[in-house]
Amino acid sequence: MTTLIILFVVALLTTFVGFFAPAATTKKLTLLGMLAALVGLAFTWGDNVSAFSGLYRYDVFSQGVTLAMIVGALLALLADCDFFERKGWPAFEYYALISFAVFGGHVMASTTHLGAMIVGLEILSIPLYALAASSREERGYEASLKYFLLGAVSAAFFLYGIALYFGSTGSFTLGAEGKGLIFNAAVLMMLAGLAFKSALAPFHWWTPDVYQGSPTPVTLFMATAVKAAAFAALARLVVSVGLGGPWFYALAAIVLLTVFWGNLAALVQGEAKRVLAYSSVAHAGYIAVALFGPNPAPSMGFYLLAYALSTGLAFAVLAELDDGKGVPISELAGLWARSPLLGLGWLTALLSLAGLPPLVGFWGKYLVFVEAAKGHQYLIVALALFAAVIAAYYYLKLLAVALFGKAEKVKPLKLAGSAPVGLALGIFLVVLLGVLPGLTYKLLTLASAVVK
Amino acid sequence: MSYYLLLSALLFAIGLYGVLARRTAILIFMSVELMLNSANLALAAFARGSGNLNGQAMALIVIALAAAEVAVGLGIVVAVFRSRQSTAVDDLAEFRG
Repeated sequence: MTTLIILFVVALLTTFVGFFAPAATTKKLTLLGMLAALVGLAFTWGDNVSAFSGLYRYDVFSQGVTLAMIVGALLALLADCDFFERKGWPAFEYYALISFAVFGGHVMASTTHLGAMIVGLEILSIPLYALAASSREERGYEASLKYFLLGAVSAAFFLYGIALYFGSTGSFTLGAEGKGLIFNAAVLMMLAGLAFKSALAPFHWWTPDVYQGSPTPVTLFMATAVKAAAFAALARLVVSVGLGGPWFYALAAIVLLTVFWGNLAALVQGEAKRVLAYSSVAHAGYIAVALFGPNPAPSMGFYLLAYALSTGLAFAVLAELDDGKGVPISELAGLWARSPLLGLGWLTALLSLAGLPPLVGFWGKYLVFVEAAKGHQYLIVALALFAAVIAAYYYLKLLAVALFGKAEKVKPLKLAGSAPVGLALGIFLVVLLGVLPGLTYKLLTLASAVVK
Repeated sequence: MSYYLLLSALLFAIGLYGVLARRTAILIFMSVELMLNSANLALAAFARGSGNLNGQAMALIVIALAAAEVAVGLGIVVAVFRSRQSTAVDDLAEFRG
């Protein structure tokens, strides 16, 4: 409960304080609020609370997902975009909307009731539609409109699935007994709706456009927090219906399509944010691999945190380079020489995304693959591993450009505002959790299973 | 009850067709609303059929959600129209690949 209350109060406070205080104050307030939510999370870690007659379910899985979301939000708040800052972006609404989105994500991750879940989904999504357009530029509008239309369609699918679920089981709570055509259709429609949000192929086509067009800090938030919340809901749904019968093949097809499509499409992109968008699609596939194990919650929670840290760091670096037109790969040339901190951040982020030890991304991949192997799905593990090898190629290519490329611009980059803090924090955590993965994994294994 | 369900499935299908076939943002958006309301119809029909009023309550919540979505969505459409003088989605093709 504490975390829920803190997040809600932060969202309200940032909304109203913004009316009379400058944006910088709102930013500090939001940062403090997120830190307070982290403290609240730490004090209630391990609790297993059910409140509001079962609408709110606060267990270790929801705590892990919330941790990943808050980390993503912190990185998004700390990443200053020099270009946008000069144009007066972000306004205070940015911080208020981020707070609301985190609150919605927390609701979505901490419920087994489908009604609360879709309300959380909308509290998470509606601020993001506005955030994508918040830079008031053509590119942002295009991204926002695409995100909005496809997001609304996915919500409609999810909702129709809920209606059918209610019709076939007489309940809105996950885990209700059901069978027959209507029940199957209900679960498939809900899966499709959540697959949209978590960017699983073949429901991922909005991802590259939206990630490329939104302001980079917003993209950072989408790639970390939104993905975590959507996967929390997806995991609860899949665990509650079990993997027998038709879901197994549907999910296996989705996972394999996602890892291969994401990685192969990333190979041919010429824009760094777009490459990371396709890489985010591929990572959604790896996360979903955990669903084939007997107890997906801990490894999935760890992967979500690892991914939030690594991709958050990568987007935080890109936010510094973004001049409102995106970041073509050639722009990365000589990054190391222009700013060692950015270079180091880029190096750790990409190696972690590629899954090289001893960084946190390696342990994430290791844990989800071991989890699926425990469920005896060796073929899926082998194919996903193969896709991860393809992925190493484009990560290393991006890295090589940054490290060895001849810089066209030799002007050193000056980092302003809170960006160095965010970058240093990201690098520190990626390395620390890479060396000592037990620190968080132990916390996450307190959950014996995703609670039905 | 099954007639209502058939009607709701039909409405959902029409909405989906509209989303796929229409080329202006407003019409796509209206089709989405049709899909949401077909779900409401299904919820109300199931609630009536089983005597479980939770379904009706859910339909009310969904109406509120749809209203919130309309507010933000129309705002975005207006912003796009101001910057381009058109809401045809085919014009929104800056990003490719």
